[in-house]
Amino acid sequence: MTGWWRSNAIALGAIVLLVPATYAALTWNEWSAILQSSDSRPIALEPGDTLEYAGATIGPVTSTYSELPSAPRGTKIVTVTVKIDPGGPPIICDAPVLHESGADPREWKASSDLGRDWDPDLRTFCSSEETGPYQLDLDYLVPDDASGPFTLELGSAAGRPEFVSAVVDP
Amino acid sequence: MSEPPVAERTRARRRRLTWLRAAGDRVPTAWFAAIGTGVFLLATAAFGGLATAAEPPLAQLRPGTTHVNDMRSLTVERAVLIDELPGSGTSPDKGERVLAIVVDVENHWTEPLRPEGTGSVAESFSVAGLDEPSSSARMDDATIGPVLQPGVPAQVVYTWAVDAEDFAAGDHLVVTLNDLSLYTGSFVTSGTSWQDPTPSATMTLVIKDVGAGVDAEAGDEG
Amino acid sequence: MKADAPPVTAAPAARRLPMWAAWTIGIGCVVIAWFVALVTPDADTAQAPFVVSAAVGESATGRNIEVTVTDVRRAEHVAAGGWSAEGNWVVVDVEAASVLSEVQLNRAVLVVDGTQFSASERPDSIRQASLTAGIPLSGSLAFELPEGLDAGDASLEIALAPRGDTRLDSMIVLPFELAEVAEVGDTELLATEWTNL
Repeated sequence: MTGWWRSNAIALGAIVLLVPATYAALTWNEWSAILQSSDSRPIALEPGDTLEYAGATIGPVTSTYSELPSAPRGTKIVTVTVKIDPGGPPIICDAPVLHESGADPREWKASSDLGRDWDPDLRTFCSSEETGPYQLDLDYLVPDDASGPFTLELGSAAGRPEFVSAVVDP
Repeated sequence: MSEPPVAERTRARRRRLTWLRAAGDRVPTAWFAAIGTGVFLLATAAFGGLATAAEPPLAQLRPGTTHVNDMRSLTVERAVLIDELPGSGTSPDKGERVLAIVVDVENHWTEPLRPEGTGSVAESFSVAGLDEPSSSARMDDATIGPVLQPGVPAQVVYTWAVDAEDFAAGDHLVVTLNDLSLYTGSFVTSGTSWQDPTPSATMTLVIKDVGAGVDAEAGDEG
Repeated sequence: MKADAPPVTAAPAARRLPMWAAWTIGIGCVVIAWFVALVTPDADTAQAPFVVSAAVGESATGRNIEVTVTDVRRAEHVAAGGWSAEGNWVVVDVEAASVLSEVQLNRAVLVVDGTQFSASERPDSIRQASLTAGIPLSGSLAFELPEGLDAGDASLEIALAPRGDTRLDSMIVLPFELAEVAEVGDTELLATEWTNL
């Protein structure tokens, strides 16, 4: 039997090297395109900090629990304020999502029909027309049992595959 | 010496076969091809010839007759030219009017049918000179793009925005009614859908012009 | 002179599998393969949605959807806001929420003896409503059935079905007998709003 192993040593060595290498190459080939074009690399943003992302300065991100008339019972509202200083070209971001990490990660989109009074200066999306600094005021309706830790995920097509993952601590 | 009967039968069979073989050997090989072609052409001629058969003419339906197939039953009620038809989903531009065709449809399938799009009721009829309808709506509650539930009849109005000069009262519209076939997706597609509209009947409608529209409104809005 | 063959240890005589054994193993493999092919699910079964059974009044939770059917009734006349219609209607009241993220309730289908009826888009209903993680939304679904369909094995299927695709995701299924559903004559659809408003 040793004779068989020895006479086929080169072939066996090639298999041991090539099979994992082929698997790795195929996986990388398929996944790299997907990961490159989606939000896959978070950049952490601590409360009070700012960072550069997609040409703009993002931060600081502040948050608080608030009360609004149209919220149902058994829920609470997390109002997150994000200061943005757009660079040039002005950053266009996707709708920021409030993410709760934990055993079952959950996420929520900002809600605009919670009964907040109309305020023409209130912004809930990144505007491509602003050139000066502005801030996003986002209301997230979350159930009472959502205790965090929360992060606000803000991504932009220009900044892909990275996205800002700001720690939200209301 | 008399041979045993089995051996004698075998030899008799061989004698018959040898005759056949000898006869075959006498015919020049090239002739076989010619004889074969001749037999084929004779048979083809007997069946009607090599030319494409003329399509049987489509059945002519009278307006108001229901056209039934596996997918749906459709009765084309009337064709109306109107300045505008609010609630139908079609808004004519300046110089355009709305051509509306009212149909009674009942879905014969086991799944809901869409009124427009691929595999829809709109594919089961076509109007000569017009593309797909720009919109469809229920006559009773003006629901745009009404989904047709199996077995539930509905009156639907299909509308087109047409140039005002293209159509006039009294014009004849030729509506071709099509049969579709049910295809089950396989390999890379899944689900069942109706495909391949094939004309099976025609109907000629006379367009009525109702001017600004007094009676042909698509239901109430409230 | 005969050359002496060098002493060689006799190699064991090559033992071949007897004919009957080879054939039995071969046919046995074919039979096993046939059974494997019988048991292998086809594409439709392999990609079927994961059914979560529900009962009226009980909450049923799938991967990203949680539904409680609170009432099933039949009516000849339904109204919703300013709209109303006559016909053979089945109205279902539900409370629905998602579990993980914000999604749209895209599939609400009533299957009666193999025939599918989709939730009617004629009234305003919870059909295609946006569901929020952990916060229930109440509403109604209305199904228009053909006149005369009064009995049969019915099942209500509710799923997220993004782009109409129900494969390999949870589907809440409520089986019931159409003949046993209460007939109320005249009914109104619930407004689509938060359950705990």
